[in-house]
Amino acid sequence: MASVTLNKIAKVYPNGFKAVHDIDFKINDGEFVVLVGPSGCAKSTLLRMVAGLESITSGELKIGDKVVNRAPPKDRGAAMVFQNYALYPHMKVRENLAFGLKLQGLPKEEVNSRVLDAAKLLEIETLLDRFPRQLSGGQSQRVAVGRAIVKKPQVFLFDEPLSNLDAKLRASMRVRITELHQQLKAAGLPCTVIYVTHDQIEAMTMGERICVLKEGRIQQFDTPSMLYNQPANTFVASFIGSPEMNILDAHLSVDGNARTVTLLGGKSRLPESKLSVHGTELAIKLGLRPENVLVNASDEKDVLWIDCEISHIEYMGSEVFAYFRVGDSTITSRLPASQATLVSSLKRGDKARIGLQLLHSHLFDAETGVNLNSTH
Amino acid sequence: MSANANAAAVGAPSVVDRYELRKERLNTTVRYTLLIAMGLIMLYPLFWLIGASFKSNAEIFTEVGFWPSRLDFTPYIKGWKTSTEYTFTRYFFNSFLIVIPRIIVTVISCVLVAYAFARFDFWGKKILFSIMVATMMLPQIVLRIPQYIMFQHFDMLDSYTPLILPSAFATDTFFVFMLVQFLRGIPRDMEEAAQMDGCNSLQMLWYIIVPLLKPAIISVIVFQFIWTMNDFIGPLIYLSSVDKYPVSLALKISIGATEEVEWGSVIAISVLALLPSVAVFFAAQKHFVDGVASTGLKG
Repeated sequence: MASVTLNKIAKVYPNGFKAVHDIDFKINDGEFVVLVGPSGCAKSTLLRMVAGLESITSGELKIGDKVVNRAPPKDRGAAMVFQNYALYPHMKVRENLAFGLKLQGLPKEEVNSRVLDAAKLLEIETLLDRFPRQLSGGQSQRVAVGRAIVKKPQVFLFDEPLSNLDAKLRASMRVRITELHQQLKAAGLPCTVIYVTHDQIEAMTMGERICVLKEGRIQQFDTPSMLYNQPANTFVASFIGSPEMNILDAHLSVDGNARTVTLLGGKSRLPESKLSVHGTELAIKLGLRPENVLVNASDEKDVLWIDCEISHIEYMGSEVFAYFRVGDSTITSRLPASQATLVSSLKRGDKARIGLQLLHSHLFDAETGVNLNSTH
Repeated sequence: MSANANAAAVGAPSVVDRYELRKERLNTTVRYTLLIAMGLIMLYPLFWLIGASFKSNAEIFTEVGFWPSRLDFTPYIKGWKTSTEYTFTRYFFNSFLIVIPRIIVTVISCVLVAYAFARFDFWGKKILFSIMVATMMLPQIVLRIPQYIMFQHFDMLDSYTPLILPSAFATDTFFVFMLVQFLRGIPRDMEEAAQMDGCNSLQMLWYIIVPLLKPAIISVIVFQFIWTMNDFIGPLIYLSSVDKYPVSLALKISIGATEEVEWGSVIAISVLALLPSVAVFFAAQKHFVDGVASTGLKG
């Protein structure tokens, strides 16, 4: 139970490479925060700096009220689950779980009861006398989580713990970990979790708040719904959501309260909203989620209809992703399965008409990629 | 019609299969014949040695084959008694007095040094490692004279200390090198996990690294055992009293001590002198394989 505060945390490697650029954020007590970003965005480095496995070049790291910049890992009250689980191969599961507690010098009964409690919680009681090499991936994963739980840490650190599991197991473990967090909270033992992943679905489903990172800088730190509905910039907009948001080059004309957007040869008035723009004519990027792209539907207000060619279609079962070509750009549409008939007869190169629901569009600065909506 | 086609389709590959199978079997036969022949050629001197240990002097020098005419253990009994006042029981005991402490100090010192080179960053690490590797190229004989003079000053001649002490300072650089290479192949995740669990550097070494290094440590033990057991020059230089001689030296004096050399006895003791090394090797062989199979690094 502790908050984690990062104050202008930076990391510069001996070769001069700056991996982490002055990161600032506060994770509240008992909160589940996900660090997400493409590979090389320094999310793992950041986590390892919190764990104490990586030195901090500058800035201040607080766990609870204590500054722990130079504290050894064991004094930080954090437990970590590693990507490859890092179970000790020569120890049985029971010994793996008990190892950290024994080092702390806890009495034997206390160690045993904590190991059993954790094993029960994770349903690994039957595995206690096995060696790690006798476990499947999912079982090893649970043991790794157990090894963190027994220590009753103030902060849980997860470093891409599900990336070595197959898709089905990953989905169920995702739920498990979230439930575990809730369970501990309900039991009066709330724990702060920092979870690193490169998978935006994991991030969206698990995180109470999500920190999107790119090249060692925070792009946005917000709740999943805010990330989805009000992305701070084009990077967040295209990183969050599957399939990716359509981002199109467009032109914006401002005349008093009236705004007109020109894109893909079409022109449409935009509904009124607060925009922080300077000037009257500017190049922008217009972002539109695939679910806001209609196909062959009837006329609707604030929809810009565009003629295009179909490129290809992906059937996902409950929904259909349709990809259209307009000039050089590709536009993705996401249709519920009930509308699959609209596109199922179409072949590559066939003509189609798609409607862009500009009411739901996001406008970004063409150069900086920053969201022009004034809330940001 | 289609059923026939199917049958033909199934039948056709079976001919190919049979051909492939025969080819594979022929291959295996040739391969094993060659390997066995090579093995026998290499083992022949050993077979000859064992055979000759039952022979009399005359038989050794006249008979070509290695099969003795009779199974006579008198060379063993005679050889064991030796012409000196001590039996080979004493010399074997002496050998172990050198080998066992030497192995212990070798393992401790080499593991510590390898751990430092493989896992810590310190000033001059690269240069020190190069120097250490360079000493591997140095012939042992070059070190003999300075070391002898040094131990003379320390007043340690005619004791086992000069044979054991250098190993306590990780001078068996080959082992250090081997352990460093092995350690580099072990992922650091487990050590990081141990660090999170609260291990300090020495606890990490003892609880995590040493168990993972087990296969490499066992090879260090085997090599050091065999090399020390077979070492002749070292004991010859440093030991002067017969009661301190190890097996290798005692074998030599059993050749020179009497007018007529009883080759049967010398060979019989040679066979016995080989046994500990062979036994250690076979006992450790299982652990080599075990070690490789159970590194436990599966995801």
